[in-house]
Amino acid sequence: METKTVADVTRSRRDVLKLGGLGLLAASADAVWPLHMRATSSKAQPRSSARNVVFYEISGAVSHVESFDFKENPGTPRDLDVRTVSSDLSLSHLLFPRLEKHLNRIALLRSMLSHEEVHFRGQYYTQTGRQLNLAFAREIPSVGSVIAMELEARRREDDTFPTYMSFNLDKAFPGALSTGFLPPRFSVVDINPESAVKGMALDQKAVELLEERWRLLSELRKAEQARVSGYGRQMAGYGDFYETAHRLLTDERWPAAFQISEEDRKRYGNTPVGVSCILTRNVLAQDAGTHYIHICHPGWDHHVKIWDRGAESNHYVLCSEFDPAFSSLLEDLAATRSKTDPAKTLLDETLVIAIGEFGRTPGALNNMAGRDHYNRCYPALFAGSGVKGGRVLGRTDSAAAKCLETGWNHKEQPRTENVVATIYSALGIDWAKEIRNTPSGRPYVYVDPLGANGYIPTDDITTIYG
Amino acid sequence: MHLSGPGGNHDVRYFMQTFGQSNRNNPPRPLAGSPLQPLLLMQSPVVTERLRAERDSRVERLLASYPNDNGRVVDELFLASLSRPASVAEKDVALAALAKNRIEGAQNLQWALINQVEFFFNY
Repeated sequence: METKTVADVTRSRRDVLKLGGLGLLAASADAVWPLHMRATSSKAQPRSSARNVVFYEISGAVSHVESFDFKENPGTPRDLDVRTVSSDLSLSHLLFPRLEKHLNRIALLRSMLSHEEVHFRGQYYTQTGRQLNLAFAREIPSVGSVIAMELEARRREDDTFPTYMSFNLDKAFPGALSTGFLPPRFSVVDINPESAVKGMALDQKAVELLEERWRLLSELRKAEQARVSGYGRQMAGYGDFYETAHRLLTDERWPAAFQISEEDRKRYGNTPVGVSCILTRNVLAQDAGTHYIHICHPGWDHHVKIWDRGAESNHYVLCSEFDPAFSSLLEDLAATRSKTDPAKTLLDETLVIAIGEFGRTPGALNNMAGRDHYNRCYPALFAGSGVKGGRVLGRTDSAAAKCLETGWNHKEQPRTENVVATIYSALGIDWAKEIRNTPSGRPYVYVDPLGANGYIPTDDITTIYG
Repeated sequence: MHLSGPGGNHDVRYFMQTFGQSNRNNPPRPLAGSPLQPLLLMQSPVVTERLRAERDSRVERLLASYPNDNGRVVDELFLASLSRPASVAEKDVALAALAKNRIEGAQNLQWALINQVEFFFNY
C-alpha cells in the first residue's frame, strides 16, 4: 500500500505557496491528506505522450448524424453541401469548411456509448468519469482535480498558473465541479471569457495600482499580526490563497495570456467559445503550470428547430461557432513552438479531445423540428500528441443509429471512462489505482470497471495512436 | 439551459458563482476555496467599480461628509466593512494612506478592507 509519508505533508511555507495555498478548513473539512492509495487489479500502461490535455466539451450534445458521423437521414437538411472526405466519411462543407482541412490531424471515433441520456447526469459523467451518485457526490472530485493532484509533483519553481483551468464551465449543467475529498488547492480556476479579458488583462497602470493597494493591505495586516496570528490554520490557509492569487496577478505571464488581438477574434470568432479557445492557446503558450484545460461550449441542445435558420439558436449557428474556434485552435497550437522543448510544437505536446455527452436521435426530426437525446453511439475527435490523424475509427450503420464496429480492441463500445483513461494515460498517470481513505469509506477508483450496466474494460483508447 | 439567480450582468454572475452561488441543478457541494476567489476580490470590476469615490458610493459619501476629519472616515470605513473599529496601529497606517492622497487613499483603503482575510472569513 503506497502511503504518502509525513515528509510529503510537512512542507515548507515556500512549497505551500508554490502549491497554491491551503484554503479554508471549512472547505477542506472533507479534504483528505495524505491519501492512501492502493493498486487495483486492472493493469494500466500509461503512455506519457502528452504534457497537456485540452478537453473541448460539446455541451448539450451535437447531432452526430449531421456532423461528425454524417449519414443522410430523413430529417437531414438538403443544403449542407456534403462532401466525401474519405472512403468512409462524409462531412458537411457548409458547416465545417475549416475543420475539413484539419481532418488529417484528427482521429475520429464514432462508436462511443454513454450510460446517460440526461444532460445533468451526462455532463457530470463527462467531468468526473463516473455516474452521478448523490450519496457520494459531495466527495467525488472532477477528473481535472485528480489530474492537478497527480501532476503536483511536477510543478516547477516558477509555475504560477493553476494546473487545472476551465473556460465557461459554469455554463455546464452541473457547473464546475469541486475537488470533492481532495484538498481545495486542486480546484479548477474557471474563467468566464467575457469577464476575464476585461478584468485579467491588467495594463501597467492597473498593475501599479494593484501593487500600491497590496502594500497598504500588507501594512494593515502587519498592524494586526499580533491579534490575528492566534486564529489558526484556517485563516492562515486562506491568506496563502491570497498570496497565490497575488503572485498570479503580478506574474507578467498571466495578464499576457489575456491579451487578445482583433485579428484573433476574427479568426476564432468573437464568441465566448472563440475567446475561450484563444485563451487556451495563450495559456498553454505561456507554459506556466497549466496542463489540463476544459472548454465548455454550451448551447447544442436543439430539441426544437434544430435546422431552422429562423430560430435564434440552431445547429447552423452552433457549428459556425465551433468550426472557426476549434480549427483555429488546432492551427495555432501546431504553429506555436513549445517553450520547454522548442523542437516540438504545442500540438505535439497536447492531446486535444472534442466530445459531447451523447448524440442526438437519428432518423426524422421530432414533432418540434428538432432532435432528441441519443446515447447508443456518438463521436469523439482526437488530435495532438501521438495521434495518428486522417483516420476514422469504428463504424455505425447507415443511419448512424447502431454501432457495427467498436473502433478499438474490445467488443464493448468505448465510454467516457475510457476517454478518461486515455487522458490519464497521455499525461503519464497510472489509473489502475484507488484511494481508500475517503470520508465515506468507499474507495475512489480512478477508472471504475463497474459501468452502469455491467463490467466494462478500463483501458485507454490506443487505436487513436495508430 | 437556465440558471436561476439574481440578474445583473455577467460580471456579477461570475463573481457570485465563484463564491458558491448554486445553480439549481448542482449536486450539493462544499464551498471549495480556490485562488480564483481572491483573484476576483482583487480585480473584478464588481469590486473595483464599487469602491471608487463616485456615483454615491460609501467612499464618496464619507469623504464628502467629513471633509476635514480623516480619522472619522477611516473609522467609518472599518466599521462598515469589518464591523469593528480600527486598532491604533491600523489607524496610523490608514491615516498615512489618506494623507498622501485623500481620494485614492480612501479607495485603496476600502479595497484593502474588502481584501482582508477577515472580511472573507466573516462574510
